Amino acid sequence: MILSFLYIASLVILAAYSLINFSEFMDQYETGILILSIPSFIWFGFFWPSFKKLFLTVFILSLGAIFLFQGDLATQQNNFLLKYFLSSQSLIMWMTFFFPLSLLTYIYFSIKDSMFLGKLGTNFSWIAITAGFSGLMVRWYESYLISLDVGHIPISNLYEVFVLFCLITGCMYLYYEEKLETKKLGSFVLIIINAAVAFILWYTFTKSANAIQPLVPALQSYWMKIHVPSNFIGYGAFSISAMIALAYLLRSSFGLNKILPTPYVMEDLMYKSIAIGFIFFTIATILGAIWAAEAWGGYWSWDPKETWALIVWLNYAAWLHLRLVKGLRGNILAWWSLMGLLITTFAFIGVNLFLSGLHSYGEL
Amino acid sequence: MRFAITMLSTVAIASTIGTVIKQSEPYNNYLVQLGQFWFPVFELLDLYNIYQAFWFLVILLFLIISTSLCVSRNAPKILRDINKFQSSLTPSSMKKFKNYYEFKSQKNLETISKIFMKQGFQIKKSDNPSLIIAKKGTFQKLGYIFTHLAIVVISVGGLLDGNLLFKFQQSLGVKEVETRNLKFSEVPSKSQLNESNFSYRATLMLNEHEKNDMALIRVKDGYLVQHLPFEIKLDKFYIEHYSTGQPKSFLSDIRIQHNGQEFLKTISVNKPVSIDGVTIYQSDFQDGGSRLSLTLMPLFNEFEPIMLSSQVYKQNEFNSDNENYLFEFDDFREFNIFQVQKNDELITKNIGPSVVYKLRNSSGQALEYQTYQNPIPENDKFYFMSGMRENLQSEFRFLRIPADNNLEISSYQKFVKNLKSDVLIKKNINQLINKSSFYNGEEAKKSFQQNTYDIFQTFLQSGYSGIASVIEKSIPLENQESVAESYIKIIYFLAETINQDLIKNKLIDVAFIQDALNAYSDSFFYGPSPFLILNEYEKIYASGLQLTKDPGKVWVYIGALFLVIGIFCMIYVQEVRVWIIEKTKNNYAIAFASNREHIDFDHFCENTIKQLNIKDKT
Repeated sequence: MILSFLYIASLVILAAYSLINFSEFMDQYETGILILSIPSFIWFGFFWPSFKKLFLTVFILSLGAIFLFQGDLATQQNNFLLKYFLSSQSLIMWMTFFFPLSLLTYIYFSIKDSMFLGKLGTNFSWIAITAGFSGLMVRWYESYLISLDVGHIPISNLYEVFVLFCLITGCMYLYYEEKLETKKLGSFVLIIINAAVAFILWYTFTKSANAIQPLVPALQSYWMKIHVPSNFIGYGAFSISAMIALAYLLRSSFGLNKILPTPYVMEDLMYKSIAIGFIFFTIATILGAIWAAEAWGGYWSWDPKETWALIVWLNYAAWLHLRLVKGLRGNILAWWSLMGLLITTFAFIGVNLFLSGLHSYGEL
Repeated sequence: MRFAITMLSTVAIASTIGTVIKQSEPYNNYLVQLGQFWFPVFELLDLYNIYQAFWFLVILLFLIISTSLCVSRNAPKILRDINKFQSSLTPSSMKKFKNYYEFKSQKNLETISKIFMKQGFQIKKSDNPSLIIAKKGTFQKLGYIFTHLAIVVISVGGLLDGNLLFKFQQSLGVKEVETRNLKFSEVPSKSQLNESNFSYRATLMLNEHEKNDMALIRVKDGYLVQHLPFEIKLDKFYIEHYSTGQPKSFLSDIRIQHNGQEFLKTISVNKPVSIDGVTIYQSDFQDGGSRLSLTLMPLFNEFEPIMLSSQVYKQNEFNSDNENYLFEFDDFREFNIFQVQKNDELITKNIGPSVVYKLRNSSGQALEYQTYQNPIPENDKFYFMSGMRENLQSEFRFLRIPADNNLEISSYQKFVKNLKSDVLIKKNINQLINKSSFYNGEEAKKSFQQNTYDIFQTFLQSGYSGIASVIEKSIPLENQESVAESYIKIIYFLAETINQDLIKNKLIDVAFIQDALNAYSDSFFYGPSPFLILNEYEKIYASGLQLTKDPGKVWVYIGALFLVIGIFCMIYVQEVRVWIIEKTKNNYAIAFASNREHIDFDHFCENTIKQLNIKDKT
């Protein structure tokens, strides 16, 4: 009750503060979006109560960081709290610390089957996600500290979207875990998140990818703010379904019956995450087309990224078709969803690595 | 159905091929990559423009037709089903359902049906008074219609914006692709498309202050000329920068003449402008013939510096060593963003203008150069940089000429002049010998004098590599290293004493000498070009505009909306059918059915039963 009150109060205060202080920087669309986001967030908070806690913690941590920065980026060199905890880079590093810890705990939990360990694994994931989201928020603020015209939402390059991927995948998994009590899938889903964490670490330490760069002209658009997150809800959901598929296949061939949920539950979860991923991926692709029409002069140019998005879309359209219309169940769909991860991964990162085109914002 | 899936798979595979083979490149590139044998095979299959290929469009057309047929066949039945209720069941057939329950309740059938109505169910009373039939979520079936209709609408929109009309005209021989390099005005009418063409994506490269009412459409290895409903003039192209130097936006101020009216507009990336159904985008830019004022500085002081005025895309003759060369200026970049080392940190910085040119000899061979105007910082020092490469595939090799304390190149010019002065060399060698007390015999002095002079001359004529080859030829292997060391010392020492005036005047530091000697030695690998000093410039841009007319876009967007609605209906609308029968007074049986029976459905049934005051459950 108190939580709900605090949640709504902070939402309203935040929105009111922004409207009063920053209205000169917003056009009528942005004002509209800001106002509409209050009921949307309230709805989401009640749809998934744990989100309220996440929101409030991230809110407090971000405010704390903003307060400590005192409007000067250089503060983080001298301030102990900022340097080791609340600057975006340290927050993201804490995320990369807690996700592997969570994976190890989940694995240990699967072996030992102790509720305490299961809760611990979940909590480590929560800490990682809280740190990660706060990290992105603070990074957003830091980009404005560099210079007002450099400031932008931190979803514009490969480093930032990998962080986003970890967070979205983690959140979606925790939602299902809460709802369907599937803690034992944690050790599977956390594998894919930790693969992304490994990439972030490699990318940070070998290429200094964590530096905040200003946006290239093509990315300066409102569409980026919705196109990229919807895409990553899609990618995250598809990855979760692939990891559940892996668990499903291992269960049926290695007899891990005690360790894993029933096939019925796993099949359902696989379907659910593909369904939500498919909707968001469809919307993301459409948003991408609208944006492309504005930036590149054509809603569809058969650019490699666009083409691979189409292939991913067709792949999961076929999957859903087989399940919903043909009523197919079982191993074939599990294999399909596992293979789907290869296609998705290629569309997500392979295209940037191996193929050149218009959509080359995240080159390695 | 099977046919449609085969077609879809073909589209997927063809699309994949299209991402692996780079599309719409100049055909010569493919010829180089694939070779004589495979090039025509790939060309026959239209693999260079797969998405415009005839067979690809035919597959799309088949998809549209088969999907439309599918919709038109099934839609009436689905619409009928939406209005229709499921048929009634007997108690025994209800028992076969997976979600079948029996329960006792004080509520009568009327109250129960009201509970269902509150949950959004539609109720139908059957002939049998003790049976109610309820259904919910029939809109799920609309999902089928919406998604399939979406595919049709999107494809039709896409085809509208494709170049089907031109393909048709081309097959009739009315129109053809032009492959020669012609001015717009010289292009035959067979390759011109008039204003009434209802969809196109054309490009237009305009120099500043230039205007045009035609644009270019690239088709395969050629092009077509598209007449525009207006005339565009480019007033100005400009780039805005972040404080770090990276480009923030590319903008063009354009002036449009349309039906006697003039519109002044500014377009930039992500901010196009639409006029008369044609949208104008900022898509590219290049040099538009910048004016350059240059000095040609000889690297070996073989002639006095020459002044040269030129322009990008212009050629200038140049004679050196009795050979005729041609300067071809290809590009002038006002901004160059570099990662520069500063205090062990890489920072992004604009290091100023550069000019790209080729130097072509009389037999037609060319070397490519890129020269930067300003000295480039490297730790605490500054260097004038110019790169040279033999062909486009290789990397530039840079000549780094140290800047003096005034950040100018003139001290290096003086340095080379001094090195080349025989009088100075001899004078300094003599001083060197007179100062040292080591050589007391006249004979030894003379031979040392001669040796030193020879070493220095070798360096002047062929740099360090010349010294190396002399050592390799005349010195036994075990002594080579120590001899080389002393030779380098001698050269350095002489160069330093020769240039005492520069050091005294505080124009250069001692550290300059080593860098300058390296630069001199590297000059032998720089080719025949003198070092270009860019004195002044006037930047002139050309802006690349894209002109799009896409009447199909609105259909694609409508189709996309259908698609989202359709998918949402199919996935998130739960279709439920319910039969409730009052077997005896207060004893009920209930059966739930759905075409999507998964966990959520089971939960729904259980919750509903709880609401109905369940007493016992089978």
